[in-house]
Amino acid sequence: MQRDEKPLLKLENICVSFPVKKDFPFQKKRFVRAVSDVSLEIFRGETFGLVGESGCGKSTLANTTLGIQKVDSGKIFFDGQELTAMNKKELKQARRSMQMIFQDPFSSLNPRFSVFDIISEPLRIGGGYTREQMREKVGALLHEVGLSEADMDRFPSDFSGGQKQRIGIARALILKPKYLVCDEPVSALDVSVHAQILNLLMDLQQKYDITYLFISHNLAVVKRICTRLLVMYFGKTMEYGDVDKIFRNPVHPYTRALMSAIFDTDIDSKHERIRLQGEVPSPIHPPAGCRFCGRCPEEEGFCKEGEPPLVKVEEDHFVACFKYNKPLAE
Amino acid sequence: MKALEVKNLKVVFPTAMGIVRAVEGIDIEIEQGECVAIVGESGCGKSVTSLAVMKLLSTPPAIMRVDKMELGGVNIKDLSDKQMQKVRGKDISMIFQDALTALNPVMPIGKQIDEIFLAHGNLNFETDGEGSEHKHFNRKKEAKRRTIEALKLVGISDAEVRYKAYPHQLSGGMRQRVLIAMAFACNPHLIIADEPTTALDVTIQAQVLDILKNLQKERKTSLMLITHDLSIVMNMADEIYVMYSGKIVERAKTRDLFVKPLHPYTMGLLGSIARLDDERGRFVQIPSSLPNPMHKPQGCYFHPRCQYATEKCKQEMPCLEELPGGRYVRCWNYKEIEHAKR
Repeated sequence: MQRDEKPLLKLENICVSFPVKKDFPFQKKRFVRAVSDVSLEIFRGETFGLVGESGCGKSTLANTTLGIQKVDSGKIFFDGQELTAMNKKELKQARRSMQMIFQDPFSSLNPRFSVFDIISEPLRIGGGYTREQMREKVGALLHEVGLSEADMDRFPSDFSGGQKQRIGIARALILKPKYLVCDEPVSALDVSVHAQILNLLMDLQQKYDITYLFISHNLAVVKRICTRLLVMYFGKTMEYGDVDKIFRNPVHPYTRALMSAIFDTDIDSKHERIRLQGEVPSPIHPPAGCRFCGRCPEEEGFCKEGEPPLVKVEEDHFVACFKYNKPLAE
Repeated sequence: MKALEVKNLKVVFPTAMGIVRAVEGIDIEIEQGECVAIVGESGCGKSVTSLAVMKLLSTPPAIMRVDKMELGGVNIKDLSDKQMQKVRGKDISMIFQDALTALNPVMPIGKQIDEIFLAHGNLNFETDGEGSEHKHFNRKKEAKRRTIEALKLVGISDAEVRYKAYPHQLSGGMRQRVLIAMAFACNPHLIIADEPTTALDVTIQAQVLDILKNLQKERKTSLMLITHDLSIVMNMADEIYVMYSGKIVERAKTRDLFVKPLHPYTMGLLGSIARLDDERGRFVQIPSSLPNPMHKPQGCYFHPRCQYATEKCKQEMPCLEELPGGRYVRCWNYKEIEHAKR
């Protein structure tokens, strides 16, 4: 894939936190740090993978890139403009070129809207189209996503999960966005439909030159469709960079654990599976030191002393792990 | 002895729009200590099959017919609802997909597991036979002791503390473990796990499956695993049934199925799983989706989606042919397809 050297989207040291409800009136204010100090660059025409377990802040980060979620600190640049410095009106204008596909197609479509109403809603908000023009546009787009024009006056309940997700994709595409956030677009669907939807997304990307932010927890899918990747754990970047480089040489123990959690379908493969102990800790009281402490199979004493910085492994491959700097500290 | 033997199970739902034939005559045999997986897309009838085996389908509206249904050698086909209540939880139990809705939200999890022991467990042996009140007290104590044991068995730390926890205080993986502890509580012949890990994260999914597998091997319980994801089945199941639109289309030992799938649908399912060693690019896909259960196509149900379909496939439904080596396949052309692939 050809890469434009100027990033379409650039995040600099993004921090987001949410206040936690107090247990009693005079308690000190507490915060959940959903995203802390994440920086990334997404280039034009690429598919950027964002990987992590649920609750690690991936959706919050995606929302900040759309300007839906306010940031505590940090800057976001989209297409050369600073999103974080915009007022409401400017943001609304900028957001026309960014869209989102949601995880659950069953709850993200209004059951009382016909397919035409759902897909044409962005056009109606923008204004300037007659009903005939809109019907024509919607019909053409439906064809594009693998449905037929006759489906226009039916309702979401008439469609299967995969077809509903196609409607969601059509709605996101009607304004011809430059940037599309796909928040786990297939995890609510059947395995046999995964391939259809992912192929459709790849075809549409080629045709319309859209940049994707692809959120997923399945590294096998990410490897297949993404060009660059950010592995997130607990609001922090663990590993970041080119997909091929990360898969060839996964440095962070968390990345390795995620990779080995994918079930192999090669029955004779003998690769040892890394089992992570325990579960994601409470975000209100993060563990001291590296956030992966407590679950890390390679943890050592020095891991608890401060947070590891993001260091460069090779060109376009970064990792935040103390063990990488001190591989021989035994 | 077989843990479960079902012959010619049929389930039909009459609706205002027409008749939905959800399950169309399937046979299931599960040996004691064996794990059998039923794999298929949503809407193929796999969950209805599991509910039918538990006799949890409400009839009416559902209409269920079966020639033979034996659980551990005991006929359960003609049992009444009352009699079935004694069987469920004791000889057969179920792990549901969504642990948050399967558990009672206003009752501590420990109490919920206690209930199983109080209903089915033989708790009376420790009582000294002095008055009913005393006996009752001891029964409860014994149930609690066993519950804590069961919680420890599924890897829940601080079982005594967790005993008093409510479902919302536990994480998703923890709740699923509670359900597993419940299912194994009375050492049943058969456990049905309906998509036990679909709602969980990948790393937690691996943990939960490990627990399920180890307990199953240790206790020699039979397991019927229902899932749409062939990739989780490989390390769990001994035998796999692939279901499509209410019928079994292929049945084989796990190894045979993964090494050499015979039915084009199974090939498609295996091909659509993303693997780590894949090259970047498009996925192999099965076109379109399951047929409408009210208007199933004539002939083989899979023919509209099958790239190998012939005229015969459009006319006649193939039967489930038995092949050497305990394999079964429902396809007219499996030999030709195998030949063509080589």
